[in-house]
Amino acid sequence: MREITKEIKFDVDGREMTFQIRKFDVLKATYVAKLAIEKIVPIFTTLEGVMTPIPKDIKKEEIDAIVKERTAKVMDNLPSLLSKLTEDELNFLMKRCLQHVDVLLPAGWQPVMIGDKFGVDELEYDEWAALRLFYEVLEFNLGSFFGGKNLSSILNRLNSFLPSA
Amino acid sequence: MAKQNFSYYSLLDIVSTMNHPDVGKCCLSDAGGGQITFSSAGDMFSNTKTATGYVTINRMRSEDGTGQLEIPVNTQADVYLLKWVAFMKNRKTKTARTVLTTLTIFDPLGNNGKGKTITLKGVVPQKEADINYQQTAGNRTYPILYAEKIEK
Repeated sequence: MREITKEIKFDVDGREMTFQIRKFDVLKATYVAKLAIEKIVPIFTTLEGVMTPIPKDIKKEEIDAIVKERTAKVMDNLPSLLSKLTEDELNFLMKRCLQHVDVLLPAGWQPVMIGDKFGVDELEYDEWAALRLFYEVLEFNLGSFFGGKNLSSILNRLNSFLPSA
Repeated sequence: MAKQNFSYYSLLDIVSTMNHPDVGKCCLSDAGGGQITFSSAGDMFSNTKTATGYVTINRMRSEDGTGQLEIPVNTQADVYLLKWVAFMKNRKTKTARTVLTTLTIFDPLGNNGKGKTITLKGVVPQKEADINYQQTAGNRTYPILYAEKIEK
C-alpha cells in the first residue's frame, strides 16, 4: 500500500513533539522538484567534500588546517550560494513544505502552517525545527523523484547542519 | 445640502486569531466571510436611590461577556473551531488549561487609522455549534463566553 504519511519525533524547545508529514500531490511535487534541481542541488554540489568526516587519527594541527580550509571554502562561496535562491523562492519552498506537516497536540493533529500563517506558536520562532521539517518533507516527497539514494545523499548534507533529535 | 457620511468595514480587513496551546491557532478572518460579535455581560454603572431621592452612582467593573462567531462552513476556521469545541467538551486533563484560549482581533483601520487590538481571554464555548445541512453554503454559529476583554 502506498505510504502517503510519515511520522517523526524530535525535540522542540525541550519538549518532544510528534509530526506527521504528508505527500505532495503529483503537480505540487513536480514544481518543487524543479526548484530543487535548479537551486538546491547545485548548492550542495559546490560544497562537495566540505561535509565529509575528518579522520580522527591525524594530528590536531592537521585537523585545524582542514577545518580552516573548509570554513574558507564555505565563506568564499556563501554569497553566490545564497544569491541562487531568491527570498520569494525560499519563502515559497518553506511554506509549501510546512503546509504539508501536522503536529500532534492534545486536541489532535494541527497543521503547522495554514495558508501563510503558522498554526502552532512553538514552531513560529524556532528556525531549527522549521529547517528540520523542511528537510524531512523534501526527503519524504522527492526521494522517489531522484531514485531515493541520490537525493538522500544530497539532503544528508543539509541534515548535518541540524542538531540531532 | 447635508453631507453624505459613509464608512467601510470588511472582515477581510481585520486579523482575528484564536489560540489555545493544546489545540493550536487559527486565523478566523482567513475564512473570508462571516461575522464576529461580542457584548459585555455586566453593567458599567448602577444607580442606588434612597427614599429621599438621593442617588448614588456606583461604578462597577465588568470585563466579561458573550460573543458569537459566525464562520462559513467547511473552511479551515470552521474545522478548527469544531475541533476546539470537541476538545473543550471532552478534556479530562487539568482544568486550569481549559481557560487558556485567547481570541485576538486586530483592526488596522480602527482608532482613526492608528490600529486597534481587542483581546478576549478565557474564551470558552457556551454550547455546541448548531448543525445544519443545506444546499447553499452558509455560516455556522459558535456562541462563546469570555472572562476578560482588553482593548488597546
